Amino acid sequence: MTDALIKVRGLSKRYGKKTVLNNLNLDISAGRIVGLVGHNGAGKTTALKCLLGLATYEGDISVVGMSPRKARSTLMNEVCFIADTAILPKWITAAKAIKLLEQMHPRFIPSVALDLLGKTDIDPGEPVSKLSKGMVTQLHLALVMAIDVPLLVLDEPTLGLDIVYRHQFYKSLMDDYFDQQKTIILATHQIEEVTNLLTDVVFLKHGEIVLHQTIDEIAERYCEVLVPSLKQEQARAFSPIYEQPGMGRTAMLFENADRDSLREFGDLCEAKIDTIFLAKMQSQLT
Amino acid sequence: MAIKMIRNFTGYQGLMLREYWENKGITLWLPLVLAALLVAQNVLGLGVLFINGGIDHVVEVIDHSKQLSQMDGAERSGEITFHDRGWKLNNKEDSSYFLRLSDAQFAMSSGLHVISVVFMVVAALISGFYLLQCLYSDRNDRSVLFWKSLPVDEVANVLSKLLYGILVIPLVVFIFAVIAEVSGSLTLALIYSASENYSFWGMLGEINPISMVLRQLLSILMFAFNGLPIAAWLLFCSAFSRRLPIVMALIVPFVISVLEHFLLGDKYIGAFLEYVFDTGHPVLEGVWRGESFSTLLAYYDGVQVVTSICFSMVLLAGAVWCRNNRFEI
Repeated sequence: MTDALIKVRGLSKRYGKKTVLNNLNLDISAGRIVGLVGHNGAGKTTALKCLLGLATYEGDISVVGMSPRKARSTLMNEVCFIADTAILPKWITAAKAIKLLEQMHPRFIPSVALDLLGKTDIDPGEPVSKLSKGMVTQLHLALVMAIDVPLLVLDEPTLGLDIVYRHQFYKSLMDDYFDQQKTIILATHQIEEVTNLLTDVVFLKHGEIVLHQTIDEIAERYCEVLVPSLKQEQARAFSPIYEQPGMGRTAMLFENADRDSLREFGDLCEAKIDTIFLAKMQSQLT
Repeated sequence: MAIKMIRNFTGYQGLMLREYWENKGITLWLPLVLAALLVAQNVLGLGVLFINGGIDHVVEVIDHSKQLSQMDGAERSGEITFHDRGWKLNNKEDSSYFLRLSDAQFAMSSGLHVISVVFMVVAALISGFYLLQCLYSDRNDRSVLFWKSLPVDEVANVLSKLLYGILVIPLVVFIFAVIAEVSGSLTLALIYSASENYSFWGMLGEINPISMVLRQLLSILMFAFNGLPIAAWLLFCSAFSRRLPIVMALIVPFVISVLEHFLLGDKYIGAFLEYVFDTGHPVLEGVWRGESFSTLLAYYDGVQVVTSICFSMVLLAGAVWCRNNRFEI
């Protein structure tokens, strides 16, 4: 993949004797929405820090054609990010943030930020310290979405928000920001909320990539069958990679199995990303 | 090239604006409150003096106080008493003896000098506090991640903080110092001019307020230049310390000095630090003596200045390195 926006080769990261990322290889093309999914401590945040030049690493990374460590400040002309916690300074107001970004970021468009903020209840003169957590996230997202860059990196952006704000966040992201020219990397462990947004999924487990596929490839490769108790032994002959017992039926997840044969055991349906994630996590644990 | 320069300039404007907004409390409100207190003190003082016997009585008291202050302590003893309308001189009420004009002006300029020194000390304390916490606090509250999401490199970041600490803060404090000094000058000139021996404009004119302001402005520039190694050290501590930069800023030089004193006898490190940190002591004194610019420049030792600048650059480079590499947020 020569036109990749992000190229990662042999990325490793160690803290003392602990290996947090182990020989990651990854290509991400423009116009994709990539979900970086993993349990707590899987290495998602560390991987993003490496991509953004905020951490040292072993291996080679190219983001928008630049080395993040060597050209971090220049890279920030092409990349925006929201870190895992609310990091806006406590003293800043929406009005001040817009004024500052106007002077400090050549690709910031104040009118876009004002339009986006107009859709919220945020008082432009209110400092961050007096805004609710949801409002701080809305403010940060409005600022970031007003910067016209090809890559947006979000690290657990909705952590700690209630379901209403989480829904608004992703709706705003898709309605007001995303187009075919932009790429979004979204690190989360709440995969069920973002499944419908993603074009690609990367599963991370103990610092290693255990799955990297497009949503279409996943739909083709995995399927789920709801198998009644009587047929479970027969179905197991097809080596399901994951089983989830339910009321009278067990959901079995199959990888690269013959779908016509599986239909004999029960209702066949599209595999859910969170089920595949659980399967991959489990298989790595055993 | 020109576009890049303009962009860099607006970037620095943004960085300065950020520092101002973030540190408005210590940059603006603290010196403003101090100046307001001094102005209020002057106004209230004038009011109280008027109530307690009018300006003529005040002048009489000032004149006699000054006269008495020139006598020996034994003669002065018991000569001034208080009553319900203010001061009263019990004896030696020789109203034919007035202060000479130069004495009155000396009293005024001394008062203004005290105000100026107070504000210089305040500026130094605010700058020191700011430089010590500026690179630490955004790391501490993690807002550094927001700033690092902007296309601004750490060299610009550190330099903007250095400029803000050694130039902007002293200049803002200077503005309030001038306000306080003007207020003090007017008050004293008003008091003295109530006496027939002094004229209001004469008193003000002799002080030469423009010269006073320029002298202070020059002091600030010298202060910024001479304080560069200290500012760089404080910034380095702020960038390097995991917590409490002030401990590092004070303890490290102290420990090094003590160890060297007992082991080597202050010959090397202590002498070097004194050499690089003390480039401008005679210069500041010269500024206050009103010496010419060329005379002031002659006080500088070229080698010492270059050494001091190099030392500062090393510390600033260290601060930039720490910002880029020392901590992962």
